[in-house]
Amino acid sequence: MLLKPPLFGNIAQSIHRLRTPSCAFTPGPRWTWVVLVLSIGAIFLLDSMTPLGFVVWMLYLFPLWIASGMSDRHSSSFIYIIGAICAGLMFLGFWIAPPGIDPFIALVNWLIGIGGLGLTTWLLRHMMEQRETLRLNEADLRDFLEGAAIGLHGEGPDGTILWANRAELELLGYDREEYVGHHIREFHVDPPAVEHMLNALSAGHTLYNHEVKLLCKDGTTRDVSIVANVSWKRGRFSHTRCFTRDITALKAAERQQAHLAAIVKSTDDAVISFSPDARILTWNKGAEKLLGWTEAQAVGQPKWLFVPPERLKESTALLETVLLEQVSSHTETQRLRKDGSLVDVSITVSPVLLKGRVIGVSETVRDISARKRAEEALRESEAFNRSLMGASTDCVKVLDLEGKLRHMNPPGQCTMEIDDFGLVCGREWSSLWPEPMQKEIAQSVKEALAGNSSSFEGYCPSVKGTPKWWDVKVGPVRDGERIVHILSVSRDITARKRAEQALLEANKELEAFSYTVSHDLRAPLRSINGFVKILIEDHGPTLNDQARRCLGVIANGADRMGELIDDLLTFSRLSRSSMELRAIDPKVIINEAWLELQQEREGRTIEFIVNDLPRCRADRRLLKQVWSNLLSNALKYTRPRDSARIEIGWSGDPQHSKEVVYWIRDNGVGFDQRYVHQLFGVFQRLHRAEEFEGTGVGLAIVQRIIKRHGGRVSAEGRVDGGATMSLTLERVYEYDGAGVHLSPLG
Amino acid sequence: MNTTGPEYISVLLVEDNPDDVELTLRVFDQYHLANHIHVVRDGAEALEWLFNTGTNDNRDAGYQTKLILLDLKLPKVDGLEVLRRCKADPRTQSIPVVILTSSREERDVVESYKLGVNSYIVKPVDFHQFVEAVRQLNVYWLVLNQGLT
Repeated sequence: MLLKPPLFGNIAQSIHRLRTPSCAFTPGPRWTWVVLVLSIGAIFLLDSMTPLGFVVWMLYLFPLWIASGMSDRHSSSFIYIIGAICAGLMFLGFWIAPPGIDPFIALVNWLIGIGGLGLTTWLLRHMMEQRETLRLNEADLRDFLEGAAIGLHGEGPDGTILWANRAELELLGYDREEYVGHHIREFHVDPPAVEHMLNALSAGHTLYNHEVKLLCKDGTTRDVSIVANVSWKRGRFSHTRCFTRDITALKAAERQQAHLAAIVKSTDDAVISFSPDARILTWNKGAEKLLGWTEAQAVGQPKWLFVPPERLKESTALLETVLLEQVSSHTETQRLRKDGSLVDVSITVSPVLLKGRVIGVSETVRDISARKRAEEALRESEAFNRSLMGASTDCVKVLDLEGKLRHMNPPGQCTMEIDDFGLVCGREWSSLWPEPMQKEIAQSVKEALAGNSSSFEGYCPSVKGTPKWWDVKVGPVRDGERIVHILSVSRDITARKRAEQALLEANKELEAFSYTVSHDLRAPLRSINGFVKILIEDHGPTLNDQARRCLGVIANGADRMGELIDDLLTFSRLSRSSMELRAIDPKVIINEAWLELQQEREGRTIEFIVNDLPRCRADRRLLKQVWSNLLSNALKYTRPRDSARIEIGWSGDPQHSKEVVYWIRDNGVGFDQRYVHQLFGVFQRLHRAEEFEGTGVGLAIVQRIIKRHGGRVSAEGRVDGGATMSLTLERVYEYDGAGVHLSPLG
Repeated sequence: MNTTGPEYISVLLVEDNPDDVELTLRVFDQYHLANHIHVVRDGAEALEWLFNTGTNDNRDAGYQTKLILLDLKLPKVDGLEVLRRCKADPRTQSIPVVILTSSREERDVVESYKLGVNSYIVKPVDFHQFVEAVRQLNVYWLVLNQGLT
């Protein structure tokens, strides 16, 4: 170790120490060196003339050299020991001083040596003490910094972290080696901010409360406030010193406060706070809007500013309760506006507590006038509904979701002969029904729960056993999307059912009657007719003219009665036969009917014109009967004309009408318009049988058929001026790919 | 065996009205067919004749019937029932049945055709028409029509 001069080691150490913070507080042993060099120079000068002097001084200097090198590593007692060794060596030097040296000079030499040594030793010791103090101070400072509650670190000019204290490491959660030696950029959420900071510091600025976000080891971030400056060494950037204060909680609180402030500011509710002596402290926009006073006008005013005089007592009591019991209190009341009007409000008064101490009171005021109005409207509508239910003659029931009766309107209770609804309330609705209907009821309740409405007819006697038929409709009652109740409206249709039953029976009887007429009434006619014919065939030659004429009259009468019966049956059958409605082209039907009337137009000159006709909706068979009758009539009543003319056409709106009017016009004998009302009656005739044959059923049949189609018939005529019959039927438009288009030509 | 001539024909007339019976027989007589016609006055008798269940001395006559003229409105068993029984039995189902009735009721017509009737003729009130109808049905069913046996 001796080969390595401690002096150089010391210098190297010193250079090294420059890089550590402790060196900043430790002055180098320069004074020691000055004294040492001066004393060595003086002794050297004095002893230079003796050949051994130099060696002796070397011996003398050697321990000093060692001591100076060791000085900062060893205790002061060690220095004294070294000093003593030096003194011994010096004494030895003096004692073995070569002869020839003036003893005085030797003595002076010795004294100077002793003095220099003593001074040197003292200086060394003093220096050591100082250094020890410094060392202790430095350790103390180091300990102080290490133990500081605030995070501290130093960075090199390039941003590398040179050191960091425990608080900083704990704040971020890193181990020392994970932090120190790394670039500070690695720990910043926003790396460009680091450059910015380093630039500012390089430019000589001190950063005060510079807020940045740092990354913790666990991945979270911390808001910190940094105070930093640069340590300059001879005008050069040595290192930075950064104080890092954790302000995460503060920031969170700030953000929360901002949120709360935003809420308070933006809410439509008036949020007002008071000091404990009931002066207004804060007044938000909501309060301005609701009550009219601006913040500037309201703050500092007593609380009673916006309390109507008649509510003052109530308001005071409420405030006292809140202050005394330190709990929130809610009530609905009225508040005064700046313009003097009153507003319905709901208020919540709460104490503002700080560490258990009341520091004020807050009042949240909500405008509920709209709600009040809605409630009023709801009450009105409920009353309306109740009166409606009460006025309804139907049995209106409200069931819960289990199908149990919850409510029934009074008329319903009356119809069901329920004296005390309390006895029925809560019972299953289906239990009121007879066994065979219960399944249907359960199904309809199920449908209602699924959101569907259903209706059915059923027999259910009243609770007292009066037989009743009901037309029942069941459906869900919704509140928004949710089904909250089931509504059942039952209409008493007993009377209708009875009428239907009676009608059914009447129809049956009528049918039986028709059947009898059809079958039995014609049999005797056949006998009359048949036997008259036999009489004429077998005994004709023996009878005189008078007898033959009588037989002819009998046969004609029977024939005519047969016709009447047939027509009557046809007519009565019309109202019973089923109809199959479809789009019909009347022109086709008219042509068919015309062909079938071949016999009646034989040998006659007839101009028959059928214009193009639009389609209509009708039963084909019945419509043919109509046209057959109309054509037959036209042929019959034009018989006296040499040249008959029959024309069929239509009228009506060509585009938009849902109806079409067909007409048939002839140039026949016509009729007297005064008797037009008789024209369509059964067995009603406007002509004598000798003139024109017929039973008077033809037009009655036409009218019956058209009426069954929902149409109308009318007639127009003049005696000897022809007749026009008109029918109105439902018109049918044809469809094709291009949409609706007209088919006026049928 | 095919029908080869009127003399082998056997016609069953089911009719309760004596006037109608007389008129019908008169027509048959005009065409010399009266000997081959058997008249019963109600549905029950008709069934007895057809199925040899009653006091019928001609045991095979029922099955050899070539044509049944059937009124619908009959005492005891009505015409539709006779028709149903006749068409349900394999022995009689191939005998042509012509309904000869006063009824024009649609349900009667529909029901008759449903049960397999061969013709449905409404008796006209007019005697000449009646004669013509009976004559035509005789010609068609007895002379022109090719039966099974």
